[in-house]
Amino acid sequence: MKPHGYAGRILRVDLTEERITEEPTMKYAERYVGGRGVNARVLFDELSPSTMPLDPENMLLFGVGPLVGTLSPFCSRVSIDTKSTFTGGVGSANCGGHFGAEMKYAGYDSLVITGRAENPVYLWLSDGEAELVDAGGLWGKTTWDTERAIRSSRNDNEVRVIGIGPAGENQVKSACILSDRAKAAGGSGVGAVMGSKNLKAVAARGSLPVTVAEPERFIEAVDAARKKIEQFPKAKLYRKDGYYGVESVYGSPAWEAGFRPVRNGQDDYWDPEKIKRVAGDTIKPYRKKILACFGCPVGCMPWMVVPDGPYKVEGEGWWNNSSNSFCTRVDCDNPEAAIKAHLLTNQLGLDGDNASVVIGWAFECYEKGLLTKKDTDGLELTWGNHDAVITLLEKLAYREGFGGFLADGVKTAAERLGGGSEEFAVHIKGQDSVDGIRVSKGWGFGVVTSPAAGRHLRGAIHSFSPERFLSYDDVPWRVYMQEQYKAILDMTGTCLYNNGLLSWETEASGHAAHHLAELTSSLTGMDLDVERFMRIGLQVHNLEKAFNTLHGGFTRRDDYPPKRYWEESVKSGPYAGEHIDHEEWERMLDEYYGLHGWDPGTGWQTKETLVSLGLTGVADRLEAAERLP
Amino acid sequence: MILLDPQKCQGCRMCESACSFHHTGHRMFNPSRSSTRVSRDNDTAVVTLSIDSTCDLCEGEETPLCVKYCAYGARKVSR
Repeated sequence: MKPHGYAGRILRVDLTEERITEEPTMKYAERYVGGRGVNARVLFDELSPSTMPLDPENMLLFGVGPLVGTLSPFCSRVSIDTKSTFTGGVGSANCGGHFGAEMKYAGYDSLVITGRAENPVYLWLSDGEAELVDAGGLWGKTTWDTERAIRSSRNDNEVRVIGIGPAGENQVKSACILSDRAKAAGGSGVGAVMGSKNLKAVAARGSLPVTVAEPERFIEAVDAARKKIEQFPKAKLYRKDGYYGVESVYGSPAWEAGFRPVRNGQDDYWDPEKIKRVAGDTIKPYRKKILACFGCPVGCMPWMVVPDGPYKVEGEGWWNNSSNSFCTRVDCDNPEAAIKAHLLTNQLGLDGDNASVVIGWAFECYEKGLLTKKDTDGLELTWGNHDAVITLLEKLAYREGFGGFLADGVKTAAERLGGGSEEFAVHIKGQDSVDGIRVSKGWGFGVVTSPAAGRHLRGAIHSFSPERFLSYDDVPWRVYMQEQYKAILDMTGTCLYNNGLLSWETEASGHAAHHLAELTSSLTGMDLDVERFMRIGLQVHNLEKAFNTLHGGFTRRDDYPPKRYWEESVKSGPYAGEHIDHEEWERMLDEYYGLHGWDPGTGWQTKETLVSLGLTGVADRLEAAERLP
Repeated sequence: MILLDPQKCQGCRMCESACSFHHTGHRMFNPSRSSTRVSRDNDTAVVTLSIDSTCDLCEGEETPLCVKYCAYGARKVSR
């Protein structure tokens, strides 16, 4: 019998052999719930450390949690997991949109993809049937044209498509996978892995049900969560104006708190006059409509229109980090160019966060004379040159000329160029990192210690009161809790903006965990209280940490900030002089490893800790590889 | 009848989930069992809403579920 809350099947696709098989979801979901939890277990168990990220043997997993495709609010997310092209450790990215729910209605909770197709293909999923379809005619197309073409060939505008653009095809490290043309699973080079498999897209259309174990209890849980959301003012702001609607209200504190590094991180504070030109109310007139992901009661993604001029464009997307990637990082204050850049990355299948890091680095190399027009195909990489940013995005996606030099990420580019450019190549464990981490200490600590490397959607926490976000106190504990909470979100398929249930702040709360435990238990019939759920979150986090130790060889020295942020202070603004205190960082690491029961000297997990988490087999593999302290 | 306002709709499809919950006797979610449809044109962001003849105005429910679960005020019961 099909389990409540699930489609019931995991699809396995070997692209080399063109072999498609199935196995029951509950083989993994009883213990790891779904989404990222199931992906992390399969990846750890089945991927050999000798496999390189772009080898055919690498695995690419798409996982949808049990709450997706139901009335549970905020539940649309797809977790995409693989071996990261940047770090060689665990790669994990996550997106919303409408694909996840459709994949479930088409009959599948997870897809486990291995091998490399001889010629480009896309995977078609429909009501329990899976088929590889020739995608020769789609290769080279943008994500937008790919969706148009698949919908047209199926003669069905409700088909949902997730896939790559030219950047993924060309195995550019900052390539992402996009759902519905706009929702990017960015980071870890997941798009490059998909491209290396000659897999252009997955398309789904389904009419299969998701059944409910305890319907009345589930609806009560939905109503309780919805009521909580409606009590919160941020929900109304999102709904009305999208993300920047919120931004315009909390306005300058967010900008001043150092999230948006300026000029490749030379500073974390931007001229307020420039902020005004690209933030909040200035951006608002370009918004035609706000759109929601599946099952989302607040909706945050704006449909943007630049009606005329050199940056004429129309499409879905403008995000918090767009004003980092295409504004502060390259010191550009032209809103139309920034909107164009964002929508161009969507079309090309580039992750804006990742791509802008290597572009910002190139601009700084140009400033310092390490690169000249001869190297950059004649482009003048002077701060504020938004035309050059847009041209570089194209070159990057196609590995054309100077774009090819940048296409393997900032660490590789800096190693190629040398000349001291490594000093300001901002990466963590090899992953290009967009985040500003010097002001908000909990944000920084979470970003740096994340197993998915240099990413803010794991343990990173932020409070909006300066006395709290500047403080090192309790940071390890709060990050440790947020890691577990975020794992619950990713296992169930819930958006991080579920934080709308909580407060303005990005931090775990017992309230929200309780809502998710009740929703998941009543939907699936599993018995998941907050404590049990958080423990599973801890197990998943430890699986990924073990993957990193085994595959990436990371130790304590990989849990330090990029050199620039370790050695340089914020230069201006209300937090001028703010920096990462070295002693405090060491103390936080000791405390954090202690909370996890990891060895402070190596940063590795101990056998005792893994056994106590029920991960004895994981401990055995680390022991065999001599990766236990 | 249910009045629809596609201008306000943000395309989340919760109405479809809710409607299918009603039509399956509160047992499951399945948009193919929904009487209402949300369709979005990804070239223009235009959202289209429709309701077919299987709508029974949620007979037996306190209020039509698509209206209850719409977070955007895009649906109203016409009295």
